[in-house]
Amino acid sequence: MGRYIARRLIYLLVVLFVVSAITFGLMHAVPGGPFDREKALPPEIIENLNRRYHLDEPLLMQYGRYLYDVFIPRISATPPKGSVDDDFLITVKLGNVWFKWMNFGPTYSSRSRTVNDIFRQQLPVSAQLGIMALLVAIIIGMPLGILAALKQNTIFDYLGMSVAIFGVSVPVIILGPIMIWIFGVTLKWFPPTGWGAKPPFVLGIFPRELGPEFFRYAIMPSVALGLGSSAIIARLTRASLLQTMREDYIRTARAKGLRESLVIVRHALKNSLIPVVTILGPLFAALVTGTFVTEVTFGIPGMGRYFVTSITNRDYPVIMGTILLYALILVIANLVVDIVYAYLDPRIRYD
Amino acid sequence: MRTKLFLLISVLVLASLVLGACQPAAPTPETIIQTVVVEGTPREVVVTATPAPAAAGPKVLRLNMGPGDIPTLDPALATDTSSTQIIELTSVGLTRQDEETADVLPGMAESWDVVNNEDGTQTMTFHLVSGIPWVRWNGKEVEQVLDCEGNPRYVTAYDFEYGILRTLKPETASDYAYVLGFAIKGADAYNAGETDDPTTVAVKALDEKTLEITFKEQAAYNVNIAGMWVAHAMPKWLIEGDDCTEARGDKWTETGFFQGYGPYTLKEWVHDSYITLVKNPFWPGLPSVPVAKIDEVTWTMLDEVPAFAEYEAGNLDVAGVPLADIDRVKADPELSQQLVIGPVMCTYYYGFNTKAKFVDDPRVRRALSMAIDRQSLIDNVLKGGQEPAQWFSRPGLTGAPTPEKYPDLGVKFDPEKAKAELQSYLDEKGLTLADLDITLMFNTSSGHQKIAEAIQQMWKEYLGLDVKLANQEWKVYLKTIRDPQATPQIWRLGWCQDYPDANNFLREVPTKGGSANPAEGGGFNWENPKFEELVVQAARETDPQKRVDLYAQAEQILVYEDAVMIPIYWYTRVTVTKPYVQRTFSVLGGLEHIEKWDITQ
Amino acid sequence: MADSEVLVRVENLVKHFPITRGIIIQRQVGAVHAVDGLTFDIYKGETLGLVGESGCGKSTTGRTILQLYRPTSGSVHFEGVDLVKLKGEDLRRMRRRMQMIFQDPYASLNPRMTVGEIIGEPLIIHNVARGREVQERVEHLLELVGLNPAYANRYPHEFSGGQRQRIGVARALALQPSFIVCDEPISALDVSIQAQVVNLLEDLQQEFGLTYLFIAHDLSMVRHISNRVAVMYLGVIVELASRDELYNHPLHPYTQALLSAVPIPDPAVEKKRKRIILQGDVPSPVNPPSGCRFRTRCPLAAEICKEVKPEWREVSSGHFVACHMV
Repeated sequence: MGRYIARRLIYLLVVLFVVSAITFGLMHAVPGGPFDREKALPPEIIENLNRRYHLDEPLLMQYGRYLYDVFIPRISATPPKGSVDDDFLITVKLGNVWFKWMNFGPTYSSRSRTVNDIFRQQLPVSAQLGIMALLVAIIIGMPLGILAALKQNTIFDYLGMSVAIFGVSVPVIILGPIMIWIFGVTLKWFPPTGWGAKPPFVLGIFPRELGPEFFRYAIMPSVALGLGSSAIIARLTRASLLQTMREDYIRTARAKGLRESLVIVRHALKNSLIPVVTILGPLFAALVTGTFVTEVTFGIPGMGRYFVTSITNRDYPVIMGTILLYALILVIANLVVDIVYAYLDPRIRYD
Repeated sequence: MRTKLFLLISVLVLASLVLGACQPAAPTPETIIQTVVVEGTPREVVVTATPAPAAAGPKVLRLNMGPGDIPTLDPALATDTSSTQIIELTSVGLTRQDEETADVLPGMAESWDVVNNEDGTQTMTFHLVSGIPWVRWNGKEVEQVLDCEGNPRYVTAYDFEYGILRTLKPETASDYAYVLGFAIKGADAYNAGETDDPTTVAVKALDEKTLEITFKEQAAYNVNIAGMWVAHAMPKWLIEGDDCTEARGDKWTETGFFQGYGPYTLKEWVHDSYITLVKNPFWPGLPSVPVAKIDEVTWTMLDEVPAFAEYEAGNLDVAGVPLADIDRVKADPELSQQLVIGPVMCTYYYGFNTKAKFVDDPRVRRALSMAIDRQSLIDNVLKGGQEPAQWFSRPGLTGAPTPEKYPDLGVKFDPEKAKAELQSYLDEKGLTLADLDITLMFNTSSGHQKIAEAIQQMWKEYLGLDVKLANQEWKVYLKTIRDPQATPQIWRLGWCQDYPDANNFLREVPTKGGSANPAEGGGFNWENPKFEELVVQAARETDPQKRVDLYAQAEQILVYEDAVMIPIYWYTRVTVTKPYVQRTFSVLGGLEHIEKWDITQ
Repeated sequence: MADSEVLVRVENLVKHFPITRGIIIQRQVGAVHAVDGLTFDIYKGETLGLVGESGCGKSTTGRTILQLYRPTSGSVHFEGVDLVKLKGEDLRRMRRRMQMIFQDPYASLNPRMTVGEIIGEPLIIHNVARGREVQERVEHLLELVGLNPAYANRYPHEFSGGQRQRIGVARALALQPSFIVCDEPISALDVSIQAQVVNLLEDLQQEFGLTYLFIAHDLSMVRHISNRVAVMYLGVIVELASRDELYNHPLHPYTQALLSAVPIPDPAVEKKRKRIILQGDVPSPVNPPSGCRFRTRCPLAAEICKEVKPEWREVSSGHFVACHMV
């Protein structure tokens, strides 16, 4: 298993490298640059801006510079200057030298900030929302799917699957404002918008206070966002459980004289989880890196916006940073899923 | 019987308590009548719930900035209204515009002398107000910034000189350096890196109280440009560091570092979430910039729809009204009282590539322009109370004509005349309507799409002409419409003021080399010496009425005689404000002078 | 044999699987007549073979007897108790006494559980043993079925088919039942392994006095292991007799046809033997033929077979048959 993980991590580096090369190539191939504005800037101004961000250099050199800044660790005798060009995600003091690693560069559209600032301040918010939404998705989706499977072709099944179809087909962009109107504006149960935690975050991800105030803000967007995914999980759980319930070993378990609830929990559920776990990897990656519509609808200061605006703004470092982050989380989430497989199914072995 | 009554009353009291607890703290006094059953007869006890006293607490104003983070709080780098909104409250220019009249008033300069030099330049000597300290929020309160000797730092002419030169410095890479480069003598050469000697820029602090600037032209708007945010005083010691201050570089505008000198100063900036300014108690008040009445101002960064929900939930004091809600707000007896539709200094227009086939004839261009029923577009598609545009420079700008004084200027919906113009072109060229192959291009967006489709329909209806629509992603589109070859026959753009003068519209956009008419081709692909002469003449004219006349003549060429542009509508802003907010309405593109606002209960 | 104690008494056992249509409101539009009125006894200590073509309802019979399917009607008396009337906890308690060995040794073991867990689970849930005792019992059972006790920590996929079926046997034995339904326990195994498993079953029967209902479609293996044999066709038993009686004097034309298809390991006999080839396919159990179920394929079919359901008669001592022509 250790060797397998090591091999996958090396493979991860290759993936990141390929993703970075493709992204870099594509974003420079698309017409339009970061400083093309509705109000056209004079050429001297564009020149100054290009020089400021090294965009006047040959593309290959820019790419090399990017890789060097992101991947190659530095040791320096002086502490980081704190400017937007000298901001490393990992900065550790070792004795009297500074170890610095991963400079994702400044953002063009927020002149006092860096991509690392977005990772420090916006990513945790998105991750908190994403994890909550994923929990909601599992808490709603799995029981719904189980109920539908166990009561197949009954009113529970049809009701449950109707809810699932509703979840898939009513997007947050419609559901969100309705929820805000009902629970935020009219009933005043929850604040209509906002997020109950702000930077700095504990361990770079957790809110400093995980109290009722946090959940008051988190519940509506988590439910709105999680509902769509819960529908996916419900349908998958139902299909998988139906399949498992027809397996011979379920009959064996019944023949042993197990209570039906025990048959389902101990024998059927665990075996039907594998397809559900498979979907959780990509779902996790998609949810924790930010969901544009949910964040805009509920006014949540997460990262989702940057995936969209960085491309329309041609904010090159943000495009690179967000895509690499997404790739990294996706690959790691899938690795975790593969490891969970081995736990869920002893027939699967890695070496 | 008695026990039953007791039970009923208890339930009612409990219910009222529970319900009360669910409501947010109500600011109005609330009287709860509690019935207590004492031995024998029930007795009513009046209990007055005391709300937080409105007068004692700080006055807090809650506004919305719009979605997305504020790009920057650095005056040298700001380009957009959300950045300048904060900058104009945390620092003050040499001059300051009245946000309701757009008049230029003294700001940090209490007076100035103007000398017209023989070489056509103009030297202005600004006399600064003294005794205004730099301040910062120290986590608990606003404090004065001290120098290395422990004395308060006051805003001086040197700080302004530093600010202007920092904006112009090529390494700063300021977008709006070009505005200073365009106006101040020697500024463009320094900004373009032709010289690295900042003393070649004609900006000089003569002493702590006196700043001398020489402008290239003897223009009316020089005094405007001197007050722009890119020419604000900036704290050199904080940005570059000195003996007792750590250099913060690009990060000097972040929470905890920021220093300013306006009626407000930065308390907290949580990126992508909200920004809070706090009243500067050391601001002495100037005639144009009074001492603030509201203690704290917070802007959320919400999209229009959630922001309006927060307004309705009582969590915002001012909000824009989303298009979908406008009809409801107008019909609502309460909300309609809070509704104000105000002008915004922006114009939405279509431009012609005057070198492209078919639209290379002014008759065709005029016909297309006159065949647009702008009022119908506003009533049926836009619905935001916009004003039909007859020309380019938005009324309200200094020097811009107004429909009241120039009712017949420019272009208006006139289907008969439009048809006649087009027919005369077709007859002369021996063409039929079917031969005309015209494409209108806009950047991909549902809003632009709706407008384009409505106008396409009007052209079909009033001219019998089929025009094709095309769209491109924003940045690709910007490249296309500035490309000498690829520029489509008709394209879309808008323009908003940088400074509220017609010069910013008429001289900086359609003139050769202007923003929408690149010198190397593309855009309008147009040059008219008469027009160029008129706008230069107007810039230099000092008599306000004569200036307006000159701009009116220029507009007539732009939108009618040559008809290189179809002005479509002038922007408005649809906002609702809670009745307890006493406010002014800015005409400066949403730039509000909140130091003049108050909250009354 | 006739005086032997009856362990399981099956009377008029019927199992129909409903066929439904409709989305919200379900209407029954028909039924699969999988088991259609069986009556027979299983004696203590014997092995009753149950043979028939696939789809004839053999497995359903086994499962319905054990109440893995609840019967549509009829009764199953096990040790004097009517299982059909039992529910919930009482039925679960009865399961200790009756177990099943499944056909597919691959699919019938939960892939996520170790062998020890699979065998030990019934011990724990029936409170037969706990803790260390479970482990000892598991090891003992493994030894009993001829597996290394150390294998308890392994997973089913680590074993061969024959080994897995031994695990299935060990599992069935764990609760020390008196009655085991062996549902084609060897048909999924290699021929070389089949004999081993059958021998194991026989040894265990000897040792523990077990009663088997041995379901198979392989007549020769049934002949080897059974004391009595029942022949099933399309949901009904057509003939039941002691092994030798049935194989030597088959009375029902279907039994005769089945036996004629079994090769006899004597070339001389084999040469003389006449094979009866049945015509047509097995009719659908949704719409079984009227009268005698076998009449559509019976070489002896007459008019009466269409109209009257043949009676279940004892033609000689212990030899039952349902046929008009006998």
